[in-house]
Amino acid sequence: MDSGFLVLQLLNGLQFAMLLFLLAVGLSVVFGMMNFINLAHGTLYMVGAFVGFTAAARLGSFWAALVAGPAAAAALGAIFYALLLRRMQAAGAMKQVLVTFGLIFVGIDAVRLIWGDYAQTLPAPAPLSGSVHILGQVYPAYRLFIIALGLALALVLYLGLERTRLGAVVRAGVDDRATAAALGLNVERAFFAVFCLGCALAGLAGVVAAPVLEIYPGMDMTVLIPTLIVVVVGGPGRLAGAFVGALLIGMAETFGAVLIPDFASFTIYAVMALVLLFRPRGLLPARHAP
Amino acid sequence: MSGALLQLEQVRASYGSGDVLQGVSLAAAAGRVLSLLGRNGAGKTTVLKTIMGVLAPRAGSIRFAGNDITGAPPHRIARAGLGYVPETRGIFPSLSVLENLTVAARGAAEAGGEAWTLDRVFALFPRLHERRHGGGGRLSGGEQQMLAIGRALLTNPRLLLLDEPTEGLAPIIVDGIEQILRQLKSTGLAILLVEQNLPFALAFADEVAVLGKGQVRWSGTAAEFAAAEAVKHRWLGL
Amino acid sequence: MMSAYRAAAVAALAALLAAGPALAEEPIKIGLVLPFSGGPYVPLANEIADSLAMAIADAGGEVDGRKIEVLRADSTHKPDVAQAMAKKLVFEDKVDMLVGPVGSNELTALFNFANQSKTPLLIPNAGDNEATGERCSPWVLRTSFSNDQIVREMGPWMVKHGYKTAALIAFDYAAGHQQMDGFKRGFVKAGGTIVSEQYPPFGPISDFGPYLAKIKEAKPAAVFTFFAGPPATALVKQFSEFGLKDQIKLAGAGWLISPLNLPGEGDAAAGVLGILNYVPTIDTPQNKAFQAEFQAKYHRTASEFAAQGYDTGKLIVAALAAVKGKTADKAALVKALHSVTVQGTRGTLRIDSKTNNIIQDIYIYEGKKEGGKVDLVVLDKIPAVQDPPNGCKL
Repeated sequence: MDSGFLVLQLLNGLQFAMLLFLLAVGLSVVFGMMNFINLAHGTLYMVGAFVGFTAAARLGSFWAALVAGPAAAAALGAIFYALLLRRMQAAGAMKQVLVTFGLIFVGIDAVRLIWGDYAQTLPAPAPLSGSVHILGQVYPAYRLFIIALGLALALVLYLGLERTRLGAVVRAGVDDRATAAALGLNVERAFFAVFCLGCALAGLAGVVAAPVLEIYPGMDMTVLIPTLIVVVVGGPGRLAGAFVGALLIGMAETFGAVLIPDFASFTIYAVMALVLLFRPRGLLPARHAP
Repeated sequence: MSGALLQLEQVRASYGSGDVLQGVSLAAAAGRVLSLLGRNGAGKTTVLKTIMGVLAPRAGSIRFAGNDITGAPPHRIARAGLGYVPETRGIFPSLSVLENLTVAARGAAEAGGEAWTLDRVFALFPRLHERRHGGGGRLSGGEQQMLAIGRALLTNPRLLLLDEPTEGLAPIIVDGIEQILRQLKSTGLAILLVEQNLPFALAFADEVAVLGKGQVRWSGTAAEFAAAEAVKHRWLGL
Repeated sequence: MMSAYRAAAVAALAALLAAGPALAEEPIKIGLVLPFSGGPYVPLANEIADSLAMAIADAGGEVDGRKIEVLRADSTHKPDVAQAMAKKLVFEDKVDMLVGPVGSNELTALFNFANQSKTPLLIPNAGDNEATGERCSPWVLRTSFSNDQIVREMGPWMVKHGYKTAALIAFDYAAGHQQMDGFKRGFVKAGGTIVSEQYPPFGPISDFGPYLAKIKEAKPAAVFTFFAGPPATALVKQFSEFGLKDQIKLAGAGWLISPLNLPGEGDAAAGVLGILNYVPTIDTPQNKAFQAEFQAKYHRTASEFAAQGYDTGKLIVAALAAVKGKTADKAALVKALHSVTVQGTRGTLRIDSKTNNIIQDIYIYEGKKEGGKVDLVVLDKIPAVQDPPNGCKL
């Protein structure tokens, strides 16, 4: 393995990991807080990408997509929540899975109706469309942008969670929801805020991924499984878990694809199985009250 | 008992099939300490959970300070002026000691007495001040109990619900907690205390209620309870 | 009573008049089974159907007084729907022949139905080698290409032009392997060496980053690929973004730089080699007229899919003319399809009676940046490329 290959693959893995992190972080924290799994999380990724595509086409700017995509995903998430998910919290896990799984197909057909069945592309913005020399390799500038954005957002989210009151309420809610509520904390509202933020981040992931991957109805299905695996591997409920899980799965997928091509489709499942064998609650599970 | 701060009327509650509470009626007055006694499994903890709205009552009514709080969400009940120290203490391990104290802190609901501040809580529990930057999950059992009480005080409640504050603590720590509760009582704070430790429960109780098989079987003053041998025998196995 | 009789007589007369056109000959019916909705081939289905209709209209829309009617059925990109649609077209609508599908995924379903019901089926795109090889049927003819036919000549050509080592990359499915095997055979025989082969899982993934890192490490003189649609655009762009373009020649089955993809690929398509049965810039009167007509109607360059659709229409009309519009004898119709030679958009075309696959010219071309955009420039033409029987006994 030459060092150039290693550098390129580490960058590729990091770039994929950042997309997975943006997708998984909302899902993971919401799951930790409310024990609620929203399988239609990927739908918001798809909607973010399509709305971003339209915004970029109308306004002629990629940066418009970067605002419109997350905003649309957050708004749609709020509607999901108000109409359906709020009532589903008390329902069992099986009902949640069935209902949110159904939403996936509604989402795909709705996107088909609005945008058609064609794959669309959203080109990278002009300043980032070239390549740069980094660590002796030529690397697409846009992919470095994804890495930088992912790391910056991870830091902002970390500070928000560790240094703000809302962050403390969220952590308290993940640790012990009943006690937090009995102390007067509106856990429900904090949950809603986190849910919408998670949706916005999924929408952002859709826009950010668009210049590298393609935009098409059903694009959500390809990210759903890796995202769920990131949540499981990292241990639901914690930002750090989602981050570490995304790094592990991103690297496993990127290196597995070319080093063990015959086994590539199973690499991430194998990693998940190994992690669960030794850490059944994930690498960094939430610290529930004893 | 129309002047009661907290009043439960025929409250029924369950965790699924079979009512744990089968029509509990109970009243706690402002500025007084009510000890709720009963054997293991009598439903004492369930009474507190139901008051706080963590468990929704299936029937009956709960009034606090003149307002009906039956079926209200827990955070509204807490904000009405109820401070809660759960049996498991419910310390948030992801939060520092300081964050545990401040995350739910609220100003006094109404003027009357001195409001609880961080400084006053630290004066009450100097140990918490020493450990304020440590993680909430790394405290000893006694320190956790102090933190849970301090945290509830900082919500500036009118009534403090304490669920088995001495459980699992060394005798010397129990003495310390008793001193603290005496101080709190002296500030005029109303307390509803659930306790297995009878001497501790009676040390500063004004009123006593005895719970057995999901109902309140006896209630009266602490002095009356001292003489009620039959009640002690039948419902507490003494 | 009298008035009732008269009323009946008037009604009968009116019915007779209304039925007037029906007294003329029934139209010839051609049934298209294509994925008009669903799946990645929707644009391809439309290109094929529109151009086929255009070819029939250009020929006057009728043969020996019989109108030619084209019926479209939507396979929705599902094999079982494709088969159900074919059945409906044959048994209910009584079509005289079928045209379809676009992708190999629907081929078996249509192939088996045509073979069993003895209905002539013309394949306007799917390139599975076996359909006109080992599995060939007397009723299934192909007007497009076989996978092997497209790439077979590229290996020797590349060795001759100095590219002695190559890395291969294609999706892991039948067409991907057939295209790579076809190239590899010719390339190795001509003295070339394959230094790396990668087959990513077939699907919508189009992040080629990891695979490009591997190719870069293998340091080949050229890369040969088979991708179509959005993944082709992604590969061409990422090949350039990862800086491989300056060191390694990118070549592929020509869909890599299809006219449908060029706008999305931009400058990255410059210098990329393609080999295919059609290029929009073919310099013949037939192709120029076709491009002019198509561009006037649809305001874009006609792709190879459109060309295949048009040529399929042209072959159908020629065969119908050969049987003087008499379609009852399906065996005679197939025989007519074997007997005709047409000057299509792609050059001289004929269906080989030994394999049922088309005999056609194959073009090698390159993306060249001219006046701000990339155009496809033909470098070489290999005339009348004919598949060997490959196990087909007709």
